[in-house]
Amino acid sequence: MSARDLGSARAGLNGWLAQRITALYLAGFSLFATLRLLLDPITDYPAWRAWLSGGAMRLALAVFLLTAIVHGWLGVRSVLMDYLHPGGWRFSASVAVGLGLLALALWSVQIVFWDLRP
Amino acid sequence: MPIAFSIYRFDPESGDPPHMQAVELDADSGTVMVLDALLLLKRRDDSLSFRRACREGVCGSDAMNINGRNRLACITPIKGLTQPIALRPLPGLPVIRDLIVDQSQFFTQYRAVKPWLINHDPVPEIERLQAPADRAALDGLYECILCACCTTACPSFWWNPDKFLGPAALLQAWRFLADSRDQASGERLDGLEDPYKLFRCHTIMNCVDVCPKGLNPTAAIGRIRQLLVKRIL
Repeated sequence: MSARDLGSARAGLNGWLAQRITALYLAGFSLFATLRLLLDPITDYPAWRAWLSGGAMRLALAVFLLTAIVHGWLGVRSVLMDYLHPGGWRFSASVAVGLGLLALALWSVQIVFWDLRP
Repeated sequence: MPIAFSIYRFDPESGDPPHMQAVELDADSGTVMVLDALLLLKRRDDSLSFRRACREGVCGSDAMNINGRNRLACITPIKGLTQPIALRPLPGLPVIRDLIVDQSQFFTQYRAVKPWLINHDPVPEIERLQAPADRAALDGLYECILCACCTTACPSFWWNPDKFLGPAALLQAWRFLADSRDQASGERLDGLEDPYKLFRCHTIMNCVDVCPKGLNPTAAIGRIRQLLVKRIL
């Protein structure tokens, strides 16, 4: 039985939409951060900490890390769906990417909630 | 100066691998379009195989890859093509013989979008009327001749021909979603919401580039996505 005979998965829209919404935030944050660093370069660690640990900045950074991970997952998964066809390989690769991104997510939590605490 | 061609030849019965055959036609042979040349060459070598019917860009039978680009041989002028003119079968579909491909995958995807009007009202005595503005919404959609130039130029279709519907089928999916007389929009959208069927499209736009009728499947796919988003937002 081919995949076509199984009908629609009733999914796909949320991922596509999430990819676009996260892209908007990533683009906005990247532009803001680039301009900020160009206009007022940061040279040492305490200055970095001071910049990132401010309340609003810390929240913006947390959202940035989360959206980067979600966006990365959707993008890599899309590449795997395009190019990796044996079902077992696609599943294994998806799990490997998922675990890698989960590790990055946990690391992000540590940075935002632990390393950057006032 | 003669007109030089390099034609993809494959005979499944010979057991030989496919090869490109160099052939020439006299410049004064009177050929204008690529199809004219193919018909002359077939007179010379009867084994040369290709599809053609209307020879005026309406039936879509003679779609092939001409100098690396999918086109209809009957409306592609020889003048202006770099020589030798390379004629290959449409990419991404199994080759049956020479320039003839097996289009089953293409037409199965076309049938999958139910390309017919679904209307549960009693059949009227004469016809289902449509306001001129509603009819105008179908312009740029109904003209598709199903030549498969777009779908076989689409990398997403090359990678997942069994799962991704392809630009031609998706253009027709939108053609019936856009039809004011159709009453199955919900079911049609349900059938399209799938990570492969619709969302393998990455807006590469090869389909728009090659369409011999100047249609825009990418825009149609965008409209389908807009409708899906409208449903949940």
